[in-house]
Amino acid sequence: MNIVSRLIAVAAQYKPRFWNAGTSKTQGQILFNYRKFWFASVTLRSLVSLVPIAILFMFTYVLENKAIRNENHLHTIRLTSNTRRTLTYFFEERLDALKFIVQEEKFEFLNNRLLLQDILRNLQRGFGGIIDLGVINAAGLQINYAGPFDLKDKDYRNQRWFVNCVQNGSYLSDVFLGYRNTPHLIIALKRPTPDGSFHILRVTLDVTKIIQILTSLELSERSEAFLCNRDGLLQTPSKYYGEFLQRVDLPIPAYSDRTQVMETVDKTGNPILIGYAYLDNSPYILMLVKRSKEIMKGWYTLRQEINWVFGISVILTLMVVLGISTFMVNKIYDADQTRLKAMERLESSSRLISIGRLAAGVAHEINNPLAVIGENAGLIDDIFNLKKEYSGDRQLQELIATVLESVERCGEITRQLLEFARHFEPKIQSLELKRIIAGVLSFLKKEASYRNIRIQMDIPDDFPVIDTDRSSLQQIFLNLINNAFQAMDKGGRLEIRAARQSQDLIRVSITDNGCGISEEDQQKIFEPFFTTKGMKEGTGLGLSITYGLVRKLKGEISVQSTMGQGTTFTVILPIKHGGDFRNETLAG
Amino acid sequence: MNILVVDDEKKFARVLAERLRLRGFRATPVFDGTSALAQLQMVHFNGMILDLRLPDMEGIQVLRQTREKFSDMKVVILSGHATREDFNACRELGAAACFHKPAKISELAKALTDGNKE
Repeated sequence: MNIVSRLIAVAAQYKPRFWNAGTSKTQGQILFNYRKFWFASVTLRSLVSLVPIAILFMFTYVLENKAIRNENHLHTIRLTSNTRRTLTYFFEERLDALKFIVQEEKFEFLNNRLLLQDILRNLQRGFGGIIDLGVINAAGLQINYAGPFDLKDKDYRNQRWFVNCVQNGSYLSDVFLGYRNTPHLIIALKRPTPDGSFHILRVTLDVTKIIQILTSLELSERSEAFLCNRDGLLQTPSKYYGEFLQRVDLPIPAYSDRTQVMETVDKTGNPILIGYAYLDNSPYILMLVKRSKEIMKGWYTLRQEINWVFGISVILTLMVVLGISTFMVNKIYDADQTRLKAMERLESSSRLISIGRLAAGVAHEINNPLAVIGENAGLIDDIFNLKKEYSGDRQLQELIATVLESVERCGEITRQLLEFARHFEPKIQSLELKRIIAGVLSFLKKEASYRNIRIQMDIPDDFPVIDTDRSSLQQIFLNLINNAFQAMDKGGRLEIRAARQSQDLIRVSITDNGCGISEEDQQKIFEPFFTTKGMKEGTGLGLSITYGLVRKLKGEISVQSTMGQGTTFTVILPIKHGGDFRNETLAG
Repeated sequence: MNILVVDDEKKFARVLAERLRLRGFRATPVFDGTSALAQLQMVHFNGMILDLRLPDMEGIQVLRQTREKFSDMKVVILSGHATREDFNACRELGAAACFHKPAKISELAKALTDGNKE
């Protein structure tokens, strides 16, 4: 809680200047909702910069994922394929050895135990994993045997391998326990005899050799390779997927003559990748099982890195976006504030002019009666001094001296008031109208561009220089143009035209395409305190002050307007102003 | 000394004339520019106290005409609301002194007498 409030306090310190601007209802002129502007800027900039980053990262994500998957598949296939070749070779090699023996040796060894033991020894020396060697006659009886068990005269007539071998000429068996009760497998070869009969030569192989081949594969943790037969019985031990010689816990893949990869889940629901191959001429299926989680480990690390990079990019981008937006809106806000202040100064100076004129009027009106009082009191004083009956009366003399002193003080005050008003008295100068209007427009240019108001100024090059009072002229146009701005919505159009009216007069018209003024309101528009804007926005003095100023410059002002189409204010001014100002508020 | 007092405020003009009389002047009050100029034609005056704002004409015109016809007459301007520029213009036209209302009678009298001595 404490931390949260502290964070809020820190955030408040960095709150941009414009944040609370325009929210106070007393503020007369609200150009913008800066906060909304800021939000729009942040949103737009964020979208523009973050969307490409997001798309890029998504692509990278998908592509990397695919690439790593493909590589894993390929790797699994390659490994499975190699192991398949090794195993196939292992079996073929032993079958070929048997074929060789069968071709090379005479029939003597069939019954000769010692000879058979010799052959077994040779075989064991040449190829590992051979346990024993036996000869079975056509009746299925083992007639000769060399090896560690006592299996002579065993009857194999009904055994599957025997039947198969009799049919196919050679046979590679599953792993089974058999009479000896140890897991082994058999390679058998049928050999016809000259008398038209046959016998079968059989070697028993130890499974450990095959297990060795499978375990020698360098597989990662939780991955393993094993053999199962086509019924799904495990032919080599498995750590994770079932008991030896029992059914494997995995689905048996469909037959294919090529090495394949299959994605599936194990019985606990973990996704796994199985590389498999059906070994040629054998009942075995080689299976290489990898846990997807393990093999995608690299991908997860990479993905984490991508996520980090993405996160940091997003944060950096957002910081830059926030910074730029805040900076920009602050700049606009400052510019607006400066402009508002300039306008306020202008307005307050026009207020001061009004006050000055009022003061001058009051001072002037009071001054005459004051002079009368002064003279009368002076006369009484004279009489007191001259006539003997009063000259000794000190009290009366003091009273009259106080009156005279007060009159003098009042006189000083009225003189000062008149002096103050004189600061605002008009001064005639030769002025270029174009420059005056351009100066006024520079105050309003920003608002015009924000509100998308087009301003067209049409003042001919041979327009005469006019002799008049600069500040009054500025005030007149500022008021009129400002008025036009307030009448217009976004995308308005303001036209300022000036022309020579006659030899001595010029005409300036200011036309807007705003809301217009009704007939009824046009009658009252120059009256003081008449406003259509409501109390909060205008004092209703702008146009009446303008009217007063135009009259002071010996000009005329008129208005034409159509509701909904726009308004034109026309000001007619003399080119040469005589110098004496028409001052309609001051009497006599 | 014969003084003409010109001011549209009748009470003021009369009292001012009275006070001048008390100080040994002969003083006649008039209340507009036309009567002032008429009086000047009829009677000889040594000096004049003139307001700048009169009901029928500007005081400065009275000053100008007076200075043209009676160049030896001293004119003292006494105005309630003249600007410095107005006073400067009057001095250029030959006014002996300029005062803001209300002014001290002693200073007015002094200005008239000084003017007379010149």
